[in-house]
Amino acid sequence: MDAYIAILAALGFGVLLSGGFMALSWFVSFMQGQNQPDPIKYTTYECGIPPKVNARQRYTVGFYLIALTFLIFDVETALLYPWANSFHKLARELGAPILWTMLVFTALLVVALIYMWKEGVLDWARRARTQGK
Amino acid sequence: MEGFLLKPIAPHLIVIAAGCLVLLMRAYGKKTSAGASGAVTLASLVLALAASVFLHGDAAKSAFSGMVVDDNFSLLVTVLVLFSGILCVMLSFDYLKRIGIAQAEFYSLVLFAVSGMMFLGSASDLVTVFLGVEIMSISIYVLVGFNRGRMESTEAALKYLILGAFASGFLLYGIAMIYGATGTTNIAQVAEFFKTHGPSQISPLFMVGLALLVIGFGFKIGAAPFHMWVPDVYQGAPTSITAFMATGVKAAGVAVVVRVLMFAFPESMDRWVPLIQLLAMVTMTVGNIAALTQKNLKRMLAYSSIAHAGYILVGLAAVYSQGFAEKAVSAVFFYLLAYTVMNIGAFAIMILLGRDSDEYENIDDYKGLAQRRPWAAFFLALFLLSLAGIPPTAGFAGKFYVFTAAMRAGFVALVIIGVLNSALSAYYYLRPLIIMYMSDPDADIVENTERRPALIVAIGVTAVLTLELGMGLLAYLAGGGSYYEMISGYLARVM
Amino acid sequence: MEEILLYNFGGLAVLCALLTISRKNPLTSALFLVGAMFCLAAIYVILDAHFVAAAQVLVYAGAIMVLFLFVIMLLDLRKSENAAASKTLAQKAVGIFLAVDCLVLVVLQVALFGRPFFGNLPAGYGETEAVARTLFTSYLLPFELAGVLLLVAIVGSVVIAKREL
Repeated sequence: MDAYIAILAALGFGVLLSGGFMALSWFVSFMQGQNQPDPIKYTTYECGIPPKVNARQRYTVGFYLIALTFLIFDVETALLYPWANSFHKLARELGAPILWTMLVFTALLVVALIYMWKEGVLDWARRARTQGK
Repeated sequence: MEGFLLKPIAPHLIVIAAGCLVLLMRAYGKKTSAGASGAVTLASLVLALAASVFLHGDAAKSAFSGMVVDDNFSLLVTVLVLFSGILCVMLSFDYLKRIGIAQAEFYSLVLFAVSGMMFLGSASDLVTVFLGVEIMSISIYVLVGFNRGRMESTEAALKYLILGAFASGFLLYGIAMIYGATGTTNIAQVAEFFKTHGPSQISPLFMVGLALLVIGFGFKIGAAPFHMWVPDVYQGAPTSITAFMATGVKAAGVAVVVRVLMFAFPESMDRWVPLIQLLAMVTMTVGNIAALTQKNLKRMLAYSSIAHAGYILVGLAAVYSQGFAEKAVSAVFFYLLAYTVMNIGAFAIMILLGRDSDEYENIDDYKGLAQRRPWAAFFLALFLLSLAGIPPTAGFAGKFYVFTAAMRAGFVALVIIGVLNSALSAYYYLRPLIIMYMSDPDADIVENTERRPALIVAIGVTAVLTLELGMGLLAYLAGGGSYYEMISGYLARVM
Repeated sequence: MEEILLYNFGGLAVLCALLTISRKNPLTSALFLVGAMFCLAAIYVILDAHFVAAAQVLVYAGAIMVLFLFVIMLLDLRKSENAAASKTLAQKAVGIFLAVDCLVLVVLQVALFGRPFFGNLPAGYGETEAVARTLFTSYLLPFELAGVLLLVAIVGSVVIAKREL
């Protein structure tokens, strides 16, 4: 538990800081500003160029593969994490097999990675180009 | 130490390694034909079959802290599953080329599915069971939808994926509840828990867990009322995968049901046997009645596969007979083997007759087949007669053993319903026969006359085995009694 | 101290969950869901389930949420907003009633029959190291099988989604 105090403190500090800025700016504009509504003020600000289309568009389904790839390798990370976390202690207790087990596991995922790579799944720019047409 | 540790799962590792190899072949050799990966797949499955038989010791060997076990039961499952996988690959060679989906990934997914099934057979822990189910299911979801150009295939994959994910949820929830009730997921330790604590420990929590497990497995083997997905998925999937699902997936599912129910919960048998009995009755009846009106052969075989799941469950319920449990389980195994042989045979004939994208599914396509293709008609007739359970075929022997086991357990009503169902099923199995032999062919039918050796070999093997399992000539000549007795003598050592 | 934190994060989790299901914009809902996931992770920490907390942040607040957002963006947003708005008052009432009913049942169950299941926890219980030790000794085979499962999942998703077959 105690190890998490720092995280909690950082969290509290962050909330205070961002909340403070918000409150401050709100307070200042409340005290100083005048409310003069104007249609131009309500348009979306995008680098000064008037937006052409609605930002909420459907994404191309090509991104589905990217999302799935991320999901699967992220689950792999979750499984790697306890190993990395306690590698030293476990290596002293169990010896070399602890390394081998993880090598087998990663080898399986390297096969997956090679397959994806060669299938062009990771070539996102090309995918976007071919799908844009 | 390491070698000894890996020995019980060596055949599984061969299959997984071959799956990776096929993937890497695909990745690094774009020009490698799909046929080459098919050959690698076939070779590795045969190698795994040899390894599982030769590395198998007579004493049960547990490995990986009781996660898997190598015993006679697991060997039977492994052999059955590998056999089904080999036949599926042989059916796929030319079929994939014909419908334009010849891809290395297909074979690699078949290999992974087979490895999942093998782990189901040798799992001795519910965690391994779940991972085996998932490896098998995810591969099969994709294989069902492999023919992406065909809408039925994609639809079938989506249906199967959504319902299958749901069933996996039930399964996992059931496992969690059994863990909560007993404090362990190891099958032997669960049995031990009830032996030491007595049946008074059968809590509501445990019963709910058991029911959820039965629902999850019932879905995987396509037992009614969890069968709704079967017709659409079997019809939409590529035909060789349909054959694989009806035999391999079903065999692995039944095997794991037997393993979990018989090895983990023998003490609570009087709680789950009535459940299985009920499932068996409903499954047989629903499957057969729905199959009666089918005009599409593939769909008819899908419904018939539901009915056959019902007959298998009759055998499973029969484990209730005191002291004869292993006889009942042997009947189940014999039935699975017989069903694998005759069902794959029937699908092989369908693949043999199909041309281009026409799957040759409608029963009317078979008009006058006996005049055009006398051999194909003869073999299809043999397989259909066997599915109907007419002697002297494998189907008859299988039904005979299953119903005898149920009689021994005293389930007379169940047997009567089963026999009535068999009689009912004769109607729809014999109708294609009549159409093949009694009517004249349509004039505009174009023949598929390509030479397809792998397919012919598969048909030959299944036809010979259909007759051999039914009559047991070779076993009789070798003085070994019947195949059923061989299986039960084998199982008697672990049960 | 722990109790105060537990109730704070618990309340925050409930608040985020309520906002998740009451917002009309699916993106807002998804972001509140992230908040709820983080609060759950904090609760796991307080319950000494350190590995579960880390996995919660890594997998749920990370990957699952990314998948949610992708799916929302792959779908037609404007349509789904309209669909959400079209619920009748009766539908809402039934939904709220069922939710409250469930909640009451769970609370009653815990209040009446709840008891500490494991008693006092041994030292180091739930720590990542304990999880790792079990994972790499007793559960080694399931761990490797999970690798196979992930490989199959990747091959499957590529086969389904790639352009040319």
